[in-house]
Amino acid sequence: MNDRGFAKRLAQELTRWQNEGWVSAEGRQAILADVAARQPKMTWASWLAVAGALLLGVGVVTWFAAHWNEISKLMKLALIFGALVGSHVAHGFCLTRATLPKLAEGIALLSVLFFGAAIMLVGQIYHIDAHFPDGIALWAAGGFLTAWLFGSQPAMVASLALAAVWTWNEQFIYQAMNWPLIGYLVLTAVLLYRHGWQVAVRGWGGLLILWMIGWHAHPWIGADWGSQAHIRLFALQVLALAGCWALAQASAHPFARAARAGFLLAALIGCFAFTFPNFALGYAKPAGDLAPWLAALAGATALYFAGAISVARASELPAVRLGIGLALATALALLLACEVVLPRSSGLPALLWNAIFLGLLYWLGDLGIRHGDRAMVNHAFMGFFIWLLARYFDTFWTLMDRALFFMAGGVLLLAGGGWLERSRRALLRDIDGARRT
Amino acid sequence: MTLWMKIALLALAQIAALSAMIADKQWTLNTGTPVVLQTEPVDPRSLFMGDYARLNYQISRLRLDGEAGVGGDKEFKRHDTVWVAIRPDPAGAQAVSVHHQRGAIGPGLLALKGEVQSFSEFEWDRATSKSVKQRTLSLRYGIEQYYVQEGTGGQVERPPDGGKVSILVAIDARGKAGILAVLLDGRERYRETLF
Repeated sequence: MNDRGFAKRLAQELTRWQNEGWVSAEGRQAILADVAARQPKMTWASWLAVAGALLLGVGVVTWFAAHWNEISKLMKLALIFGALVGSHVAHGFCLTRATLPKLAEGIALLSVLFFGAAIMLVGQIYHIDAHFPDGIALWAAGGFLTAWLFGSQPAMVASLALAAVWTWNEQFIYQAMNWPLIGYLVLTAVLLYRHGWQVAVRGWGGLLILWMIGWHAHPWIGADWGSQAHIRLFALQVLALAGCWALAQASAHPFARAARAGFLLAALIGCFAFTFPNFALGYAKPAGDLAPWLAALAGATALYFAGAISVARASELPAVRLGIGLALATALALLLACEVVLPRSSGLPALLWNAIFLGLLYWLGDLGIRHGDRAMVNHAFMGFFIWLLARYFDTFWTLMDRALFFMAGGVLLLAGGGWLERSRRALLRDIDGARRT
Repeated sequence: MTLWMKIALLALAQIAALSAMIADKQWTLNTGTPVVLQTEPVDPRSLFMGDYARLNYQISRLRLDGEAGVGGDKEFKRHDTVWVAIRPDPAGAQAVSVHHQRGAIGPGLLALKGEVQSFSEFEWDRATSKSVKQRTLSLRYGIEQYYVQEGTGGQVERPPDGGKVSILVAIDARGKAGILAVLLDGRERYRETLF
């Protein structure tokens, strides 16, 4: 919510709080006066100045674009470098004015865009036709440096988005392992850990997961998608992501709190995939030497149980609930280890997976309610609903040509979905009520 | 560190990165061995790709089998890095062989680094209306785009009056190539300069 929106909402809430007797009339006035005093004021003159600067900027850009061919290379370079430095100076000017924090953020983002434009224009002027993802990586590095030096979350988010484009191209288009991304992820994690930017941390988690998905596109795993190597890798990734979630869940640091929802969602999606009876049956081709996979399994298991133990230590759950949670965690680890070691030969493991998946959803929902974590409750309910729908289609797929299939599906969606949503809302209300008291 | 020092540091780092891009290209042009490459007509230019000429060379498509085939390795994958042995010739350089390793290129030949765009094992024989085994490699060398003045890209891709376009490139010690000049019927039409 922006500052103006916050003040408006606060004024509305304060009236109610005053009527309830929680806040005195003097207190209400004092709070509103304090908020008003702390809000940066954007006068009409400021708006006119911003509009004027934008118009001037658009005019200058279009003039140079129209005359670009007639300008010498040296002049072009001077213009590019000048625009880049100018954006940084404008950013610095806004930062020195306490009344222009939003504009400073916008110009920080603009300077990141200018750096990208500069890379492309220099490439055009000097006919540089290099490995395309390298240019994106350089652009992302420029954005990261801006975020690092000025503590700018918009620049960090832009850099993370560029890094996603970079790794997408390297891994999915060029099918090369993007090792340098590890360095980028570590450096950005240090910065995000320091600042705890919520949006950027979520983007960081998404980038990590995208990079992990990209491993499946590499030739080293085998160009043959029928190889069990993909299933082994997938199971290890789910185990590692579940471990990352558990470690983040046990920590109260803003970085961990922002990252854990993404890890949980990715791990749940991974577990859900294993609940399909035919999921791994088509991947029966041998994956080669088991030894390196066992070593990777040992590493992922260590991470997973480090997380599980951290959650158990940090949790205030009753002993019985905690015991159920640890039993489910162990069962999940065992099932994933089986997927790594033994190729599936029947749909039987899917039965166990379904049981474990439902147990996990129940336990997560319970944990979410006890910790007042709305996101975890939402994940549990959404997971259950999707699971129910998937099993309905799995079970009654052969009746696809019957009207009954659609009628029953419709009833299931309407009744089941309505009941689930009502239960979810009631739970969230309870959580909010528990928070207030 | 003060705010203005941070701004100076950021500006310097970014300008240094951009200058490094230019210096790398210029190093290739200044130290590389000049070689003339013959071009081949390309498909009509996409309007969405800006105003540049797309260049296709005789060495962009290499046959690996038969009498016209080049020597060297025979199995490749998309996006593989390859080394093409080039024999310079004023009438147009010829590809002699193609390899996965640079060390396989013999003395007296230039090593040009490329990237596999596609590798096909069969081609359609129009005479017999059958698919015949003919391994063909499509390569990219990073010299396939040349930005030109607005409205003139088509003249380079498809010159008027049957003119012949060839490109003078420089190939440096790292196997990287850069366009030195665009030649129309052997005469310089565009020449690359630093500024």
